[in-house]
Amino acid sequence: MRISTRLGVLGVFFGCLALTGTASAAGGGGATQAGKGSAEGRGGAGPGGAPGGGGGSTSGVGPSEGRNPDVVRSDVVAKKPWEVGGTWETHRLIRQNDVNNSSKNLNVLGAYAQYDITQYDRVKVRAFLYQRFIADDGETGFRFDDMIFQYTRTIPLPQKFTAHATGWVTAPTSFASQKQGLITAPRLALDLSKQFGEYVTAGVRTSGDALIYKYRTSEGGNYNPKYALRFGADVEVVMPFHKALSIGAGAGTGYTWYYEPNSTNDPNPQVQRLGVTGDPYYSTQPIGQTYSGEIFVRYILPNIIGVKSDIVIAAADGDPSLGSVSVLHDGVAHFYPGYRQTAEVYGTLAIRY
Amino acid sequence: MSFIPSLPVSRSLVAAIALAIGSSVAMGCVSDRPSRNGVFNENQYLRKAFLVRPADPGPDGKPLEDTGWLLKASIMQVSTPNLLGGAVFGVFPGTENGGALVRFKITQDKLEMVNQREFSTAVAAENTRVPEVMNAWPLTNVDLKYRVNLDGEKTNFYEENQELSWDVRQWVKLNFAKNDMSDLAPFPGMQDVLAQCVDMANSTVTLVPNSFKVDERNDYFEWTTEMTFPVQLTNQACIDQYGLRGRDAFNIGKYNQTVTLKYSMVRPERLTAAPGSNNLEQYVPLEVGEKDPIRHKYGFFDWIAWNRDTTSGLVAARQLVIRWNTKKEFITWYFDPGFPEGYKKFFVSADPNDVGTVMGHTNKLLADSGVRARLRFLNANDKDTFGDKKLAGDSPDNQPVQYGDVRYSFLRWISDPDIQDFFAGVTQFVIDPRTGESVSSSIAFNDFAIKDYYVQRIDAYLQTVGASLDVNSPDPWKDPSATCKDGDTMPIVQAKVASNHNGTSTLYAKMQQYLQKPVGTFGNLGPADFTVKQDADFDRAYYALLPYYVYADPDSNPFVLREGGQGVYGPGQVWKMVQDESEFHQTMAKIDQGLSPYEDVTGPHGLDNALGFLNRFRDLTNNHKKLDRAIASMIHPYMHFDAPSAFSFEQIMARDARHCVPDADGNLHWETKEEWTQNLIDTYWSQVAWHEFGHSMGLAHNFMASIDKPNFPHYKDKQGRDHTGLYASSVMEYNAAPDRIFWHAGWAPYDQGAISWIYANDARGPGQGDSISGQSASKDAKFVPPWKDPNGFNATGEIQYLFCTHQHIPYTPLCRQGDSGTTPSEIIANQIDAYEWQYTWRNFRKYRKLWDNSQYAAAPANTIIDMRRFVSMWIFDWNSGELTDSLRRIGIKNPNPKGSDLQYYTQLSNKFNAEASAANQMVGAFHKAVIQQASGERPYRTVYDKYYGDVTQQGIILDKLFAMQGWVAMWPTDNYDPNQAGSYIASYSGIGDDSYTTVAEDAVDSMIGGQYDVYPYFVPLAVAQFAQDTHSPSFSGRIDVRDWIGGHTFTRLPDFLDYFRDLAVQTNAMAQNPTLYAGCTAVATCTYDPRGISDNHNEFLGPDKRLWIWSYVPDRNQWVAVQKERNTASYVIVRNYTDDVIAQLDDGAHPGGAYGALLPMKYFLDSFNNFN
Repeated sequence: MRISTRLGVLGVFFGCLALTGTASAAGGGGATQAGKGSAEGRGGAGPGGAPGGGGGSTSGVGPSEGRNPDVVRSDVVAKKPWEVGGTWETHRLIRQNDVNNSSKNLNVLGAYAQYDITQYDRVKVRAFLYQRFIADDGETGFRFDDMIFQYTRTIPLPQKFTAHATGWVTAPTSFASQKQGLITAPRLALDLSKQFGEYVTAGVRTSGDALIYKYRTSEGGNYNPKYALRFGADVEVVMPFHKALSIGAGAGTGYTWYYEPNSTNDPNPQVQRLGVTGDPYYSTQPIGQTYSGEIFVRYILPNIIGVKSDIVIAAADGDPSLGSVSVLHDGVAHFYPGYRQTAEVYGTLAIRY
Repeated sequence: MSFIPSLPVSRSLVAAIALAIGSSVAMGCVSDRPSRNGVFNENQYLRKAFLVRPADPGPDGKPLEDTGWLLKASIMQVSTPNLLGGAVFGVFPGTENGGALVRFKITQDKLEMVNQREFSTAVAAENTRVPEVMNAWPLTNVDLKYRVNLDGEKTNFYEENQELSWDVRQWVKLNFAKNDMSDLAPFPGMQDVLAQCVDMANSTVTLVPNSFKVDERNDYFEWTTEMTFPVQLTNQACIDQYGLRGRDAFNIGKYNQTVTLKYSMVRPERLTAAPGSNNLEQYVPLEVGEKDPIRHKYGFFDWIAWNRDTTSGLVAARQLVIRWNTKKEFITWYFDPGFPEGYKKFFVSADPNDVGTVMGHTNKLLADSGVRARLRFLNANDKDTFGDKKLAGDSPDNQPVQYGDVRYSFLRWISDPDIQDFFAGVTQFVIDPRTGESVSSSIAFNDFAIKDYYVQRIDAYLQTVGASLDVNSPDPWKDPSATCKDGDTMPIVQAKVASNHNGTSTLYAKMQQYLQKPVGTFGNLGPADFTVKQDADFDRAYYALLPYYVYADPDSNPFVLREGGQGVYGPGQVWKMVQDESEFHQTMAKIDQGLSPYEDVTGPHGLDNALGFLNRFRDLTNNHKKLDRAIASMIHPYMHFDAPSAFSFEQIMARDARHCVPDADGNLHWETKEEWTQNLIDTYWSQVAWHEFGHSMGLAHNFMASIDKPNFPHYKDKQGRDHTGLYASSVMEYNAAPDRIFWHAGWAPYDQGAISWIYANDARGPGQGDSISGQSASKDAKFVPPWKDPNGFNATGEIQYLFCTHQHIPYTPLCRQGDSGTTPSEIIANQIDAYEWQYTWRNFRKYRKLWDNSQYAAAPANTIIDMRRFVSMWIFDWNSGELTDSLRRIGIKNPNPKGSDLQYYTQLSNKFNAEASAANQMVGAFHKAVIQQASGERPYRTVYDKYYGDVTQQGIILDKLFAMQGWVAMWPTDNYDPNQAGSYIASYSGIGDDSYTTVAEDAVDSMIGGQYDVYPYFVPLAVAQFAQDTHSPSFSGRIDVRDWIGGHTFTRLPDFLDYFRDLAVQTNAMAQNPTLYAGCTAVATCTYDPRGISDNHNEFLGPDKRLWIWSYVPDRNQWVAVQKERNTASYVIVRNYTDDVIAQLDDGAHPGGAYGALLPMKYFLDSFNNFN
């Protein structure tokens, strides 16, 4: 098993959901989660991207799922078919005194359970909980994210290549998904990784998402994403002098297609009566493109009576937990690394048994 | 080396593919959530591309000009009482603008409705032309979009957007609220007169909720505004025009008028170039030349398309017939909800070919014309066939059609008695101004109080002659024992009624006396007894000549403006005429109330004042005569009103009858009282229905139809007996014939000819005609007439119909509304009958709670003005020389081939003369009889209830005034052939035969010199009028009649004596009687003194052998001498004085004793001397 990185590929998907989330609630800052420190990225719709660039999609980067820190440790542990685990993440924007970005800190709690049906087949269920430090009166600041039900097929390949094919569906347990009218978000993902020597692991991945909604729009008026396509690559290097320590980097990009406003079918009688003027600037719904990247340091903690853990400290830009980053929307905004509303540092503690 | 298990991989792929497919399918089911509405739904938005559309590409690929919109503006509702419902304003539910072609122009702050019609094409490069803006509404240019966030992502927040320049934004947000009356712009004439009587500055306009409807798919939109305007209460002319409804409104304190006004617009069809066009339904305009002879035969509505000739720059025009497009399959009419079910049978029945219905008979004519279209009638919720009710309103595409929609034609019934009462039916069009096509039409029926208007009047009249119908009694009529057969009739009023009628009429009794047929010798006679019974020779010549006696009003000709003619009927002039009409009635009110219409009757300025009044009165009367025509032609040019009074039937008592009718089982019986009354009402409306529908088919009024006896329709009953279906050749007449009711429904022969002509032709053919109508009277089979005329010919050749319409009325005596009879004597007799019948109704309050006699003067004025018109015809066209010439020119021949044409013409001339003489003798006798009504017969004073002040009997002083001026005054010949302009006619001078002269002179003599019951100022008016007009250089005929009121006045006794002494010298009287004329070889030696030889009436035989009378006027110290034979009227006056004062034989005829008898002498001689 290999160590997972911060921006699990699942983040790509969650990022696309975040795009259409309740943007105003997060004030542009609150995208959601990636499975930093955890064994895998996590799913669910976060509080959403901000309008005007906050659509916190990301292309999750980092090694593909299944990279198990245990492999790095080379501890041969008796293989059991099931595993449970949890993560705690804490995010902090680098720029704290910026205006118009009220959500500058964020915690994410995650839990999962998995079962290996065969050597190559795994099913898994995951759930997450956010904690934001802004809330309306009477709110706790905690909100659930969507639950994920996934199946992964591991495909060993020659030359130390490993491929994973994953499919999942979600349950719309998040506030944002309910606002969006999300029914489920099926996804197909494929990643390919290779270990180079003893200390270096690299991988590339892609995923495609189809989002199934009751409505094309969320309650807030934003149009829901329709499809998403993501690409990413990462590399992680274990320190030879201390194999519990590793450093890594990842980058990714993604594309999101949105539903078009449909004046013909709009049930609003006013729209039916009057129709809609075509927009000379935006004749079609733009395709959202996002970028992300991070560098991180991971340290694997000692195994204590079968409980494994690791911590990660990372600097990231484009973590979907904080919404969009470096969004390039048909030329409206430009690639901008270190964007003040998304550049962050975060730490992750992951525990599993 | 592969160690990938094949099966799991395969499963994965299958699962992945299944997931992908499942996802795609599921995504296809995603619904649209209602967008967030940032647009007020009470706002009114219109797409600019809908309003202002770059039109279809032309042959060169460039967009054609915007075709614009066909606008119909309709007044839908009116608050009651409706002050503005009279003829001048014409504001009633259903008033329409006649259609207009407009387009829209959008500025940064206004939506401008621009008149699409341009007179000419301007040179674009010169930039000198801007379109006329008819109306405008405030607007905001907006886009209506889903909000786009700053990333360019579209949200579902629906909102206005203004980021683009105003001129490229695609919507306009309209504001219909106003504080003016500019929305009445489509009614230019109405707007003009309303502006005189409403407070425009305090008007308000708001959009009626939910009335703004846009149907882009069908290129249609509409909206309705509610307008309120305070009415003016200080303008007497306005108050007069409010009429009875004005009084109602004031009684209950309503001083505003609120109306709702619908604008309905649809894009007109594009006028694609006809050559090569595949549009088989393309309308083809029918153009008829300005002087095409067919206009003599048929009357149709012209649409004049004015423009400027591009080559010459001169004004040009095309005269297009207003008609339906018969290239289409159907001409569809809808019954508005509320249209009486029982009256739909006038239009449609189960048998589509039933010629007793409008549909069946009209479709037959359309078939005769060879056109495709057929009429159909539907309810508003029918789709294809009458009664299918397929437009149930259960879907947007299934909505019943609505009145006011420019696309649909409606039959509408209005029964709100507070709305208005000035019309029975009105037909209006929406005309495509490019072609004259009637795009849609409407007919409104106004359910006025017909039972009161007719049935009660009939009964009221009959009560006066002891033959009441007892229409208000619950007792049924008694049925005769005999059974009846189809076609049987039974006079309700037996023959005795006519006798009673004549016997009780003080008017008729006097006329009889004046016409030399005293009661003692001839029994009780009525006007009908003085008509001339003409023979077939007369009829043949008469109907051949009549088409040549139709004269148009030059001011109604649109193509030639005579001097000053442009403004005569201009909108500004109309209001001036309305104001004059108000003055007319104010003056009449003063007279009716017993006040002198002029001051200083017997003083030094009395004569001048009297003449001033008379001349103004004459102008006002002329104005009154012209006003209705001006209103119709200028204010509501495309509304064709038919007033209730137009359908009078004054002879109904004598000529209508109970009918033999079937019951539900088909058994025949005599009409009961209720059936008779209901049938009377139903058949009345039936006639209105056919008449109005004639308008809608394009027919103009035909006011000579009631003359056109050869073309009256006939039908046979089941016994084979012939009946006259209608006493007119056309339903487009305002005939007063009794069978206006109980008529035989259907298009009359003229209507059949006219309708089938209108629709059979798309253009004039190459043939030539030789008849007055430009068709052919030839029997030569090879002779091709220029027009297709399916019902204009019969086996013997062309049918010559008589036709005249509004523009002919003022100048054509036989072109009359509301008349009956076919010859002048019949027409006059019926007119007098009508006057007499109306007297009993018009002058007595009867049962009425509210008796409105505020416009009383109009009735005698109209009657009397109309009566003198045959005099002109007699003078100018029916004199022997003219007649002979005319008969020869039109080819009348002596039916006896061996006889002399000239001799035949003489015989005919005598018959024409007898006809004219009889008619005009009746007129003269009528005038005198009115004047001579004694107070005990018909009081000239209006009678009031002493305590309550209500009028209980209307006096006839106004009748007498009109009769006096109508007969005594000299009138310009402005009522006949305009080529006779400049001539003046006095009814009693130089006209006609001896019989007429006797009656005429007797009448005028009695008016100026006779004794009759009137106010004291009255006779001086007559005398002044006579003096003035007989001394006019335009006075023709017997110049010596001016001396009737003449005489000699002397301010010194020696002058008086010297006048007669000189006469004795001049006549050498001394030779005859040396004693009496002693010394009369010279005045100075002559001792002759008439005083000494006069009898006790101061009469004496003068030296000239003529009978003289003299008198002394003590307060003027004047001597008066009047010759009996020459100064006939003066003689009577002086004789009255000498009788009363000198001979002491006062008969009480001159109140005031000597003064009362002396006064006439003063104004007689003053008047005479003033002009002599």
